[in-house]
Amino acid sequence: MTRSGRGLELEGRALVAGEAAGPALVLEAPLSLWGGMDPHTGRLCDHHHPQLGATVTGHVLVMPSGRGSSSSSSVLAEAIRLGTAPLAILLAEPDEILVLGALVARYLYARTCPIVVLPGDHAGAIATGDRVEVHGDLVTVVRSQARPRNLDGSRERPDDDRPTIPRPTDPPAAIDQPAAANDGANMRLGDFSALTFDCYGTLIDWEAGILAALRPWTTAHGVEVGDEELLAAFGRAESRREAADPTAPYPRILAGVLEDLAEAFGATVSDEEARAFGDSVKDWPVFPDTPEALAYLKRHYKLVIVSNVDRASFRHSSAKLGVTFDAIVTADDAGAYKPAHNHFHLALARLAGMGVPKDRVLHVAQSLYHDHVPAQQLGLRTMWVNRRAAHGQDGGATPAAPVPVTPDGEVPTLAALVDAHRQERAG
Amino acid sequence: MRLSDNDRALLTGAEGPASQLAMRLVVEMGRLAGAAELIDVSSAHIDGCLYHGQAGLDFAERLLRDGAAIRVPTTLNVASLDLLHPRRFRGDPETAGAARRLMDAYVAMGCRQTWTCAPYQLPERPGFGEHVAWAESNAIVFANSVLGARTARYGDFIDICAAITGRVPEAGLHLTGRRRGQLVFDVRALPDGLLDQDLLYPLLGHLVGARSGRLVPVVDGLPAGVDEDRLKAVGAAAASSGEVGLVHVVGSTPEAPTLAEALQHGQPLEVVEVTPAMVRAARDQLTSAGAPEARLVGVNVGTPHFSVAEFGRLVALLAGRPVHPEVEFYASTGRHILARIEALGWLASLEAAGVRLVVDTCTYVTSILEDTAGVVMTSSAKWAWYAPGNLGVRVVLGSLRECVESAVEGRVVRDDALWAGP
Repeated sequence: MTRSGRGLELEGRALVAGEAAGPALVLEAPLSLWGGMDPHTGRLCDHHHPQLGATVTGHVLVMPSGRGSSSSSSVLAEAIRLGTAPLAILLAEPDEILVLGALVARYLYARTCPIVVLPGDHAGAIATGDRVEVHGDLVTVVRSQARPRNLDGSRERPDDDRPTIPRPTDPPAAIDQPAAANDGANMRLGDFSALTFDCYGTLIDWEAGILAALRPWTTAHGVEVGDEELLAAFGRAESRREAADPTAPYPRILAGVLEDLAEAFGATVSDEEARAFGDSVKDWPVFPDTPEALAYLKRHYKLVIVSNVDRASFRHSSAKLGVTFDAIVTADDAGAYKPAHNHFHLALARLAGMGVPKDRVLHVAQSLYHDHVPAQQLGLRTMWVNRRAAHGQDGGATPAAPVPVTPDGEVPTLAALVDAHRQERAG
Repeated sequence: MRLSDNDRALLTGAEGPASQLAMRLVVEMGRLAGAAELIDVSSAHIDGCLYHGQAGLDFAERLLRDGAAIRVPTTLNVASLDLLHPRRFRGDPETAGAARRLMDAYVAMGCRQTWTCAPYQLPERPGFGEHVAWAESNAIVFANSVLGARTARYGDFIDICAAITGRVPEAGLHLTGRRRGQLVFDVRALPDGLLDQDLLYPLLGHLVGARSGRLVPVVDGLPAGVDEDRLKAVGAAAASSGEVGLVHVVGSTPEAPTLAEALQHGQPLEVVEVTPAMVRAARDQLTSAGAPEARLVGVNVGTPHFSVAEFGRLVALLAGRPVHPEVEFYASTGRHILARIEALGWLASLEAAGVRLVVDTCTYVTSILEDTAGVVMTSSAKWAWYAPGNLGVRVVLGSLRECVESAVEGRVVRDDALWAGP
């Protein structure tokens, strides 16, 4: 193990040689890809795994060892074919099942997933979020600044003070920025000039809207299911559809979600019902505290919408929100759905054009999965509007975060954020 | 690695591109395992016939197009479709078409249409000490543990490569030294009443597998002569929760007439005292939270595939009573067992009771269940382990008796008294 100017260099043994670079996802327990990872989404679906819901796609997967089924070879080959496989896999001990999957994919499709065994406990030197580069046997690790905060509120010092190497897709605006100057523990709302908002779930009560739109269908088809279970099924189907078809307009995603729900609950759905559900966004109600809070915040900040909805549907919601936003970024603009990074790159570019640098932007959102994880990956600070705290449980229509994430601040409602701002100003 | 002349000939493509690819992958796996040479196998069992997506189909059809043919007798594991009851499949026609093509490709390479995860229930099973190349985790652990045959933990892709070449690396559980028991699970602290329960065996397998990882476990302290169905349950559960390919059961499996022989006269790394509390914890782990109180919609037995003896118990437990109309009751098995229970007259009485027989496949690997919104009960730890992820159902694990009583009454019936703490 050596340190160079680039970070920590580990000498491993490539079982399947190749090149890769990206953020690490460190598994806390062994995983069988078969029955444990959905190759269509790249997400962990093993209900016994502590990181259920995490996405391996776009990450260098660090795992203690494989486990269980020998069908994992097929699943890895299929994930490589579909482009959902990890960028590379780092193991503590050789795993023939994974190697076979990678070799067969290379033979059939001329692409693969590099697999490297790291000796001893070297894999333990890598944390989720660290940037990892794989070149044959050599693995380079650059510590992430987004590591979870220590108990005293401090962050671990990065191993070197160079910026991490940007992904090729990052536009220049998103890099070369200094790291967030302030720590979450002493974050002041007055330090920000712009708030970027998720819309559905944060400003609009999407769960009420979803349930209101789905209940006529469950009643008509005799589907017996509780609200929480229905919302959870919605969340699973929605994220799967969005990942599978990132450029589809949101109403079509929703229509597809209803088809998935019908299949999951053993019911049928007519084209008309699917279309009606797709069009229901315009009827989803606003949270009662939203319009007044936005009106207040508008006096202090630039306000930007960063939403997974389409422009047409958002126009209906916009009327209910009652303020004029300084910029609106929708899935139509981004050509993808959060947790993809596109939305944030676009919003930051728009704000940069208004003279607001990244370190003066606070992202405000309910969903750890759709919002806090990608925003923090890009070095944004985040405020969690934990609307579901009142339910006494997490979940609902929002999938679990794939990696540990610590928002910089947390409020139960938007009204509470306004109160916090007022108190801060009152000193 | 030392290769025979014939190995080298295959490797250079002397017998065509399919056996060349197959030999390349076998050699690659041998290098990875540090094998000194390749050895002959007398049979193969293929798991790659279960459809997991386009990649598996592309591989099989590529081999077939390149002229692949098997060299040793080869059986097929469960696939995605029940060819005898095709209407049981509830997935989309596109998947069904691809799954069918995959099955056809393996048959065209010369494999027998056995379609079972319990090839050890076929009459011509391997004998003690015989080297085979078996895939499917429960079949592997059964072959090694109960039959005393020798197979490493093969899986998709390498299984058919072994069948095409008739060769495997001399590594893993093919080697005597690698079959030495490493972890001992002493069950003497369990009350006799628990040892009589069928449900103990999958639970024991589950906790042994979870604790063993890749080590070779030894279960010590059970009365001698544990029957094959109970050993099957131990192995299937251990191979689901851990990477277990061999479990010695002292007094019941052929390499473990005594604890000392299971350990090959060495010392174990650890002796784990199995307590009733550990067994209870395993039972809780394999039951979804809140599920015992929820609406029962299904019962699934036969994972791994039901044996004739297990069907006999099922018929006796049903005692002529019908399954509740709101419960789907599935029993999965192989075609050969189906033929035998039909000859015994049991099939007619099971169907009259409302039990739906599934062959060629299994209810947790493909889309068969009509209702996945409620709770499904099973007597299989393996089904309970995988179904929540595969099907999105909530599961209650129970004994076969509890499964039958629940199916008849239309609600979850479990005898909790048996498992209550001291």
